[in-house]
Amino acid sequence: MFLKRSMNRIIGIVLLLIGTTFSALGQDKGIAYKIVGKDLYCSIDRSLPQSQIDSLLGTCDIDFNNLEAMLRSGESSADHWQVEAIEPHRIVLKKPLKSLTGKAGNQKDLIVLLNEEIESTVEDYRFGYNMFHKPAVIELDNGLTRFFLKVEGGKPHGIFISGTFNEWSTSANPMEPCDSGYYVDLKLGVGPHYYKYIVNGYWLLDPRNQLKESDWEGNENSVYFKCNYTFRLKGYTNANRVNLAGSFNDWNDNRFTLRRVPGGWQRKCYVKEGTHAYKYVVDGEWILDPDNPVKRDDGAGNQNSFMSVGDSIVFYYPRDLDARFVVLSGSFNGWNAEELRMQKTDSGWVLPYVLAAGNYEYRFRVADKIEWQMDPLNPISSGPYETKNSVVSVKANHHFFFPRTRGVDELILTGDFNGWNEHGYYMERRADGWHADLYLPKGKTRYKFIVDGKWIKDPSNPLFEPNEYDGYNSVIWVK
Amino acid sequence: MLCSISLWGGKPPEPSFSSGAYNQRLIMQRPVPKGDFQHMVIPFKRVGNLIIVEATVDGIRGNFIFDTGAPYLVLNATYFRNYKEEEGHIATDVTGKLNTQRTTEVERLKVMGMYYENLEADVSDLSTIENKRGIQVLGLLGVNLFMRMEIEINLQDEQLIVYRIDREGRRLEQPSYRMEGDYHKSFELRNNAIIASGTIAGQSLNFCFDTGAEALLLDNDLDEEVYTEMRIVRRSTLNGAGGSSTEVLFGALREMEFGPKLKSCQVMIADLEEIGRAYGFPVDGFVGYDLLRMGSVCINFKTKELIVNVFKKEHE
Repeated sequence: MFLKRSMNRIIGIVLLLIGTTFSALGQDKGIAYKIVGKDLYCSIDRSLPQSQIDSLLGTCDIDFNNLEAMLRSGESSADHWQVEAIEPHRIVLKKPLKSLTGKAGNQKDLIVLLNEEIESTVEDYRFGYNMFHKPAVIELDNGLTRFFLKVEGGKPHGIFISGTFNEWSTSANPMEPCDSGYYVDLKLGVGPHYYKYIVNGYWLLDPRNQLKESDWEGNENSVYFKCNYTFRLKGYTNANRVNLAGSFNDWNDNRFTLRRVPGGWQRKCYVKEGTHAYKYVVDGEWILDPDNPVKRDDGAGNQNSFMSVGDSIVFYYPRDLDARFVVLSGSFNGWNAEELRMQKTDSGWVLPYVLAAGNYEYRFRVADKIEWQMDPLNPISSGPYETKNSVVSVKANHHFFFPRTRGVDELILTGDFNGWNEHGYYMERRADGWHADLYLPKGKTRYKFIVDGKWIKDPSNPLFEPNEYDGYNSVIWVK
Repeated sequence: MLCSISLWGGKPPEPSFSSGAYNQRLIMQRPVPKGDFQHMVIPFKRVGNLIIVEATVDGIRGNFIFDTGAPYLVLNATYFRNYKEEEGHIATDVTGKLNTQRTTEVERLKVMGMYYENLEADVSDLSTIENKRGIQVLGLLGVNLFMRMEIEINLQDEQLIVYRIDREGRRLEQPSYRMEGDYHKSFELRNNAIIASGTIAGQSLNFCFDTGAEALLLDNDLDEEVYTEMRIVRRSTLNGAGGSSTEVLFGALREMEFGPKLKSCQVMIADLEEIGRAYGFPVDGFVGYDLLRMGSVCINFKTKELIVNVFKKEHE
């Protein structure tokens, strides 16, 4: 009897501790943990929707309907959880700390779990421009970009440039001496490039570059934009200041100032591929680009100038020439059913459209037809049969191939690029096998083929790694 | 970092590179670093809290993790699967059992001006770290590559400095130099693991100093006093192949001592028995980044000493 009363007191103290401490913890909503002695306690908030409570209990291998019975009997779940208390506002479970399930086999696998939510992110720039104290990076006529570093003092015994353009290699790009410093010529793609110099093993920001970005690891890197567009405004030579505002810089009218040139204003910059709206701001007054005939209404009665960067794809739909209209709709415009009306020609409906590199799904909406039409000329598609879409890859950089296999009528390619969708991409059947061209982003891509419902790795790719299903995924690295 | 064991369960249809404990024969080897240097500065990159060093294996250049949790060179099976398997050796693991792991030999491993020739290596699956960190990882540079040297790790300047040393652990270029340090901590080398004591809530624990440990890792069967210093934030499960899973608690540790006082550490609690088995002895925990963020850490494998110079900013 004494023992029981003492136990009740101990439990009471423990629950009090849990109640007072849990609210302060920044953790998954509605669930809180605490170690008391050698036991792990778990408190589940009963004000949550029942489905969430069921789900949280499920992570402890406990059925809500068995709670009362487990409390009475003191029985444990398969994962060693016991029901400690059922209160109006919470359910408290406990298990011995020693009974954490499974044995860790590899500390690094565990540690990456800890950081999965704080992985560093590289900003996806839509727009950018350079800011240097003194010239340090110049574009050469041969298309290469020259980086120059002035080095004071003695002759360094090793000087390199390292950046996103060479996967931050510390040795791939040594710099050559010139009369006043060191230089290296690199072939860069359009867009932002993060970089640093390495002098005698020491990392160095570009001292002449004002533009720096945190790498989210506690350090900074210099940033250089390889430009792809020049904004020009003729005239307005008496103006004091001409700024540019557009959809690419969140219509900020106070950041990007054009430079005065004979007969007007201009400045180079980087603009991400795609179609963008913009206006000039001349001494505070917003004006359309007088030399750009492409103007559209923003839906609120305001006109904006529009510009496009990138290659134009011509979408073509050869059927329903007697229809009143045909609209192109896809993942690139949020499946907007009205926006992109196609132009009628003698042979079909066409629409040139600029898209950034990527893989996109689309269909054609034909007036008076309920069902949206797939592209009859495009063999690559995605999705379950009833909701299949055509797929177009812009700037495709990888060709997938699977050899012809007797008795196989369709072949599906799936991987990181489509969220491991078991319904696609459906590949194109040719005489020698199945083909598909896709755009793959920089970095690692894992993929598999689905052949007659069987998931198999690419037989022609020597790079593969184990997955959590006791099988293997094929691996491609795009540099 | 353990490389030769993993969570994969069941038997995959392809050769597995992830079973068994560390290879005793590889642990015993002491590769000789070659190259014309007395000391060398090696710049590194940081990805998460990992230290990434560029190295070249037989002409293949790429990222390697500088990892004192690994006892020797480990190559990623994704890229070195077809390397010739070492034959004619009976390999045993640290417990003396026959080791079925795959080992191979590389002709040349080069890190800047330093290189090793005819070096044996383990081939293991490192895909988890690659996928979680989003970088290509060719392998791990483990402890035995550096055991003939003194190595200084400076996270703030993002550089490793390796020094050649004599039998007494003195730098060849400066034999009379004795490194000043805010903290000197002796360690024991056990199967190439750097083992030193640390204290949590007055309890002395055996830690492995693992530069690949991005957070503090603790066993789930320690003295209960130890757990009074931490708050638990969430519980998660790491799923491996064949339905295997490992339950892990995540939290924050208020303070521990490991030379300097390490405050506000991210901590994980799991059953580390299997990891200890791979090393050949029980380990209470792993500490790495939490010490490295405090200051530059110098490891002298001859004097078996960790010397910590606390970064000024942290010190003030």
